[in-house]
Amino acid sequence: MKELILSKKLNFTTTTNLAKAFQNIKEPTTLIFKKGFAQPAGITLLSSLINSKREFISIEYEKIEELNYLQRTNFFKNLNFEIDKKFPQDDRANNLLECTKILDDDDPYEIDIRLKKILEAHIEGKPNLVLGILLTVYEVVDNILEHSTGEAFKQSDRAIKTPAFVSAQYYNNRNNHIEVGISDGGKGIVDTMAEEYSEFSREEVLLKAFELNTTRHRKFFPSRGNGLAKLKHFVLLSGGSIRCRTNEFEITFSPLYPNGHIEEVEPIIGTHFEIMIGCYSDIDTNPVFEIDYSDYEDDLDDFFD
Amino acid sequence: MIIAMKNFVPLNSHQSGIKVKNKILEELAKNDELIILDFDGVDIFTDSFIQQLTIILAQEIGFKKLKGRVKFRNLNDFLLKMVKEKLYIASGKKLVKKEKDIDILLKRAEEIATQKSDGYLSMLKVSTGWKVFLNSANVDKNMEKEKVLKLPSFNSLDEALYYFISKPI
Repeated sequence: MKELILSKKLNFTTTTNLAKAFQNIKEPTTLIFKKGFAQPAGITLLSSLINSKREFISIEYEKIEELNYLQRTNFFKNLNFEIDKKFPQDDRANNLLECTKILDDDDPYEIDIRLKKILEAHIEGKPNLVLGILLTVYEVVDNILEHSTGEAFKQSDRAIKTPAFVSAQYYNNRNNHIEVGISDGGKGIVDTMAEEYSEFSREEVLLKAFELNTTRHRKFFPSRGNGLAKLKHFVLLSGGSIRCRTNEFEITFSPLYPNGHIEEVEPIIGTHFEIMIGCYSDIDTNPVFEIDYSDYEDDLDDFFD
Repeated sequence: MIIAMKNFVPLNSHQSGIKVKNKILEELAKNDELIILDFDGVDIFTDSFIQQLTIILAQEIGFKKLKGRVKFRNLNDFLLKMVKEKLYIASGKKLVKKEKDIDILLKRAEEIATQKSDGYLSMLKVSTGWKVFLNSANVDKNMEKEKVLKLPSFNSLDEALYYFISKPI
């Protein structure tokens, strides 16, 4: 029996560093938890990694109390580990969106209800910020359901075989932000889009995924594929950041890298996001919806009561 | 004819948009009645959802017919902007990108300065690029100059402002 020791706080960076070890698992392996504290992007990424090798994995821990936090996020329950039965779940924290599985078009609804409650409890008087956070999660989840398997566009409801995971937590500390973690076990952004954008290098394809009008279906729907571009713009205006690990790359958008910074890293299965959204003040959405309708607004007014 | 959009939530995909679009097409075929899409009780929808009811519906029935037969009601300000953006594209007009980010960033930097340093905010262009920081600095004094030089520099003012907003120093 092999062992894999988890001795560090599970955040996006420490967990991505475990990706290779997980991909090499080919026989029964015990995960030994020595630290139970984790952040949303670490939880979702680890969930996705474990899920990809679930049949080989069992778990052990040093102190069960240390696992309380992971337990509260539904981490063990999602992955069908027995530990869930050993101690009951505490009351739901009002700053935490528990790790939620995404398998089909109905699942985002539960996230929507839960996330709204958290945002209403903590972010007052910032309506655009609240809606922008909801939109960010909606857009990434939509993207996963639409693209992670690389299948053709479907008119009807969608479902994926390998679950994606979403979690979020509001931090009312000096930086006042919300962290959203989203991970899927699909083909990865670059592999999914490379064929449609064969004239570009793989790095360019990844950058394009975060630009307007980028879609696998561009011949049929040239105006599609704006979701990631919109959320990037919104997150940057909040003073936040996006890190995305997919295929052989990690791409970062942040105040330091508003146009994106790509590093070549160890290949990983799926696509994994760590999204930090600043909650310092409300967002002016005019620049997000990039349009100048100053000479056209009267005409559009016919559409509204 | 009023279609209550809250009956279709979550409005989070092309597929949910297609369901509503099909309902609109069904109603359009019945008679000449105006179709009102009522968003009362709807907080948010995705870009993909609203594309179906604007750009793609306009491709199918024509922008003129869309404008004459479909109305949007009870949209919050956030969603109203999304819908206007899509209708603008649906109309076939070329998009003109606003270069207004700098205004927004300046406003947010000013808010931070008001809260943290009595409104004092410095924006400095030096040989290595732009620096933005709280308070004012007398760069003629050696100590203050060194402190300012240590701050990160950026090629453009908006990059420096983005950085300042995330880490007000």
